[in-house]
Amino acid sequence: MIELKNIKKKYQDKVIFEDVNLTLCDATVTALIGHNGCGKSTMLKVASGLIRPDYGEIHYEKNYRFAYVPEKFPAVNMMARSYLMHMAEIDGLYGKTESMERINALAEDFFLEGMLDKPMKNLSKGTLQKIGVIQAFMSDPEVLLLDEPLSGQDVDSQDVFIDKVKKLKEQGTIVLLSAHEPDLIHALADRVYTIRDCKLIPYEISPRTRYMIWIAQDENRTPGKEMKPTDNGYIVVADERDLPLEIKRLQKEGWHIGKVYEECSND
Amino acid sequence: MKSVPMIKYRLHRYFGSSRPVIPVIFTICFLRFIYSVRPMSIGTGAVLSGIVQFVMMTFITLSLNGGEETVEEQLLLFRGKGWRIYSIARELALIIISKFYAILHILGPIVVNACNDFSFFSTPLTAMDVVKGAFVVLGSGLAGIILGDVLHPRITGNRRAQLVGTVMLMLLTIVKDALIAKCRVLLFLDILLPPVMKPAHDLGNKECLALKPVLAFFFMMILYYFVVTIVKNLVLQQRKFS
Repeated sequence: MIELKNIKKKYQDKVIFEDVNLTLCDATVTALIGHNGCGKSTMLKVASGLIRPDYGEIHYEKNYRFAYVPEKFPAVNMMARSYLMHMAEIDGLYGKTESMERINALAEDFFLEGMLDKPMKNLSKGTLQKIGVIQAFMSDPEVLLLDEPLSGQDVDSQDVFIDKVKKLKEQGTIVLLSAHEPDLIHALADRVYTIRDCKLIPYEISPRTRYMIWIAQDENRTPGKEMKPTDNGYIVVADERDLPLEIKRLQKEGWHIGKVYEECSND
Repeated sequence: MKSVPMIKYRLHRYFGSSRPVIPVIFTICFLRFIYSVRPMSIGTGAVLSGIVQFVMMTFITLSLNGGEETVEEQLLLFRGKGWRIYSIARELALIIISKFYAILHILGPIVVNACNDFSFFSTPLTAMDVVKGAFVVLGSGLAGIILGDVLHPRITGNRRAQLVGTVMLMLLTIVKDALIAKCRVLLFLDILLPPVMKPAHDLGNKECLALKPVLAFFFMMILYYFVVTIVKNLVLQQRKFS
């Protein structure tokens, strides 16, 4: 658990935030949202001890192993694999072979095969960002700081990213996330805050639109648990983010999709 | 021991880049230049190498800390789980880089002497002379690290101020003895700035290097390095990445 008490931070004479009291609990994703420059990244850095607050104190329950995915990952002058191997060696959690296997597995998960043996200077912004994500995930962090982690990443990688963060959360990792993407917040956040008028305030995010997919009955197929029987068919509920993937999956399984409509609508 | 892989990473970053090219060429040119006239006294060679090592390490450290990527440093700090390992690894990496250039300065006179029938110097070059010369060069390298890093951008908060300040300090270090001789009020410079020119007074133009002043200089530099480095790292830790 990390406790921030009465934190105040200012740059020159401008107060960024003040009277911040925040507790980051184990196995919880705390998200910070807000417009650019409102102080989300600064809050992340203050909470992790990278920046000293002007007032207040931070209490760490223990000497945590932090991992950090920065908003913009720097292009270091070496091969991506070499960089990751160095970081794994510094972490000292695994042997050389195991570290290599973990890096390869994560690279495969994030569709980076073949990219690891290229100089980081030649990688695109999105690919570089994925290297930033991999270096954070490979250290099994106890505290994970995510500063707009999805910038430049493709949709499939975003899904992988969300899955990995969920797994870390299940393992008890404290996650502090700064993001703009509502999908990411919906998928991960347990608590959402924003910084308004220099104060940290809880933020209510509007619920996602949910859709119902009506599927025609097919006696040759066995319905899944998620498929609720109705007249002559089944209903599958999916939110707006998962809808395309769900439709794709059902079609792949051979189901005939009748129609899709919003959960509350009468269509 | 996390600091060892962290040092390896820093060295890979330095030697894997083009940063060493100019210092290596400069060192080779310097050695070729000073060891072009024979006979030469061993003391003069060691003193000149020491001064060049001091100036070069000042600029190398200056370029390294100026080129530090904040995010990269923050990630290393997290991995080190605190400032202690991070700072130790950073300092040791700088010392190893300094040793690399020191080796060139140490090998220079040996190679030149061997190419000149072992009679390049006015007195025969012994193994002990090489060791004593190494102490002078290594000590001067430490002084270069101190000056190049003492006005770290995270301390001054301004790269331009750091550059101007470091060059000023470096020049003052070289000429401070002459300044103090002219104006006793400037005596405080003798305490504030490293005694890089001490070997020039004690050993310059000497046919061989006396052990006592060499060791006195080396240990003085180590002491100076420790004091300044501890203070500098405490300030860096206090300021964090603000």
